Amino acid sequence: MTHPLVIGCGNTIRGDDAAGIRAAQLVGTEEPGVDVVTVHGPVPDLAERCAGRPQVFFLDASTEAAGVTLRRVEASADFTPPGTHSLTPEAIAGLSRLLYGKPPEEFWVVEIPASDFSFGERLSVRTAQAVREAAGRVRALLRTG
Amino acid sequence: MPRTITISPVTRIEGHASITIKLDDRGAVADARFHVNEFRGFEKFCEGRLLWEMGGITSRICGICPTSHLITSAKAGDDILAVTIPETAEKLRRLITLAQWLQSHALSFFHLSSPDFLLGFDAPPETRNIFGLAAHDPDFARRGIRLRKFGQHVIEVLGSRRIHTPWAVAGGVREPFSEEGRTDLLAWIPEAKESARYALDLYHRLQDKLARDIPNFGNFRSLFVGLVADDGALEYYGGNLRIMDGAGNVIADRLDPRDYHTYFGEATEEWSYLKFPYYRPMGYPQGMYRVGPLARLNICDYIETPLAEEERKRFKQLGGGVESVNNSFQYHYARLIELLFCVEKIEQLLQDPAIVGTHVRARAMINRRRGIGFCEAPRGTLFHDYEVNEDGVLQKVNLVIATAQNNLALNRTVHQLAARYLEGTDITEGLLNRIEAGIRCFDPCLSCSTHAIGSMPMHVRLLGPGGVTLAEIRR
Repeated sequence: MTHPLVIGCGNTIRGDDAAGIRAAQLVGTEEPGVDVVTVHGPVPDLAERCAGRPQVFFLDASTEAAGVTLRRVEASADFTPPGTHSLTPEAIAGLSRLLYGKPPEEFWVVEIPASDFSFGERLSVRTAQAVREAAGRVRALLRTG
Repeated sequence: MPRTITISPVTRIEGHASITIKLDDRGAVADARFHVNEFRGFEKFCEGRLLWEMGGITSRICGICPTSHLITSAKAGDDILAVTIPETAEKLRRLITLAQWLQSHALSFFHLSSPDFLLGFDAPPETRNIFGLAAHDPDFARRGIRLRKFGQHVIEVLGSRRIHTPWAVAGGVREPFSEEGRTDLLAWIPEAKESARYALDLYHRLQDKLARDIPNFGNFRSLFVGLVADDGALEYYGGNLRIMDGAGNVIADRLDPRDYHTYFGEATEEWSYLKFPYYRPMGYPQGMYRVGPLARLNICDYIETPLAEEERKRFKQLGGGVESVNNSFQYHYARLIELLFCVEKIEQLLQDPAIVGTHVRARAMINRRRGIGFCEAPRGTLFHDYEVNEDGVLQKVNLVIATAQNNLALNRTVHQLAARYLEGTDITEGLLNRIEAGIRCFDPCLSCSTHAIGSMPMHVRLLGPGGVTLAEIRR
């Protein structure tokens, strides 16, 4: 299991909430050397999938990001948010280390600006552009060789 | 002075809710309410959609049990088409229903509830979570992840994706199952069976440690409702409704689930978006009933798989072999027995030659204007009731969700726990967590649909009679 992993998180019928999933799928379409998984929320199961990966990218919609942001995070055992639905990406990497002894070498969180979470499968114009930008920036960082 | 304590939000459940505890002048618990303050409105916005879209839409109700909605929606569609689906299609639907139970039950026990059991109700919240669990017993935590993964893998292999698969349709399923898929899934069985047994053994070992708390977790008589097979076996897909009282008497049997509206009413309260279903003959709220694993284990006569049946007999002894098991804490035990049943039954279905049959869909036009689908979702009996016009356009939709059916019992459980553990004016961590743990016995699913990066704080408020905040705690 040496391929980079791209995780798209969100809900595909809640408008911009699908941003992470759409961007992850876009990366998967353009980069055959990566594994893509889409999830409804950052649940503990992801720890096993992330363990031992050279790179993991966690893509999600964000109401706080002004633009597409990428930040590299370290594995953490800090469980600040209560609830399995609110596991942070750092915590997922931390669980990979705690349970499997091998956190991913690089764990990137990609936040995609989102504003419209009404029912429907359409992204807002701004988020649709950001999805393309996010996919491109992830591809630029990929180490698939 | 009368006071109100509010716990908001409740954590480690699926969805968002808060709790209010009202105290009387003497400081005793006068009332306790479990509020569901998220509004979804699925019933309304499904109106005007085509019947054939309903599986895809209703499976989006929930990220935890989408498959149960999908299957129930497909069954409502079968009813409207007035078809009997092919044998292989029914077996495949049964298979995916069990996979849904398995992944949901694994999440509930291993990741949501077990931190309380293994680390203790009074352990600090910063350690009483999945990390504390992983540090305390990594093998247990890994087993939980693997069991859940197995359930999701079954769903993925059958339906092409882990969540929100549109695979089941009115008349059957879209695709037959492959030999490769069958071989793949059978390879998981030994490990899954061992992990389910492991969890049950652990649960039995914990009884002494939890002996002081267990009697207070929603321990009261109520009705129990669920599906049983024609011969009384534990049922999860078809069968008829059985209603048992807290004393263990079957008060109604072989009720056609399609007539659910004649047996059950749905009351509303202005302080919650969640309806309050009740058994009509006993009125509201006396007609309180419970659904889900505890109810299913109470009402069935036997389980068709050997290991789970052995555990069911042990479970029944909690009620002396005669009475229903009335303690809501034993939802956990019932859930684990069902987990084991799922693994055993999935193995049986995978070994059935019919599971790889190729005739998987019956086709028909609209033959009835109303269709009712039902199945046992992980949390209890689920009904989808659709009315369509001659073109299959939805005119009316009613969804009776398992968690709603436990609503009265959930409120009763909160009341009981608050009355037992609230002492004076101290809102202790142990009190809060026991109340939350009482709710988690039911594994309520309030439908968490939207996720965005952020956190969910724990917020407790003490309010005076005029709504004045007397004290406030955040964690």
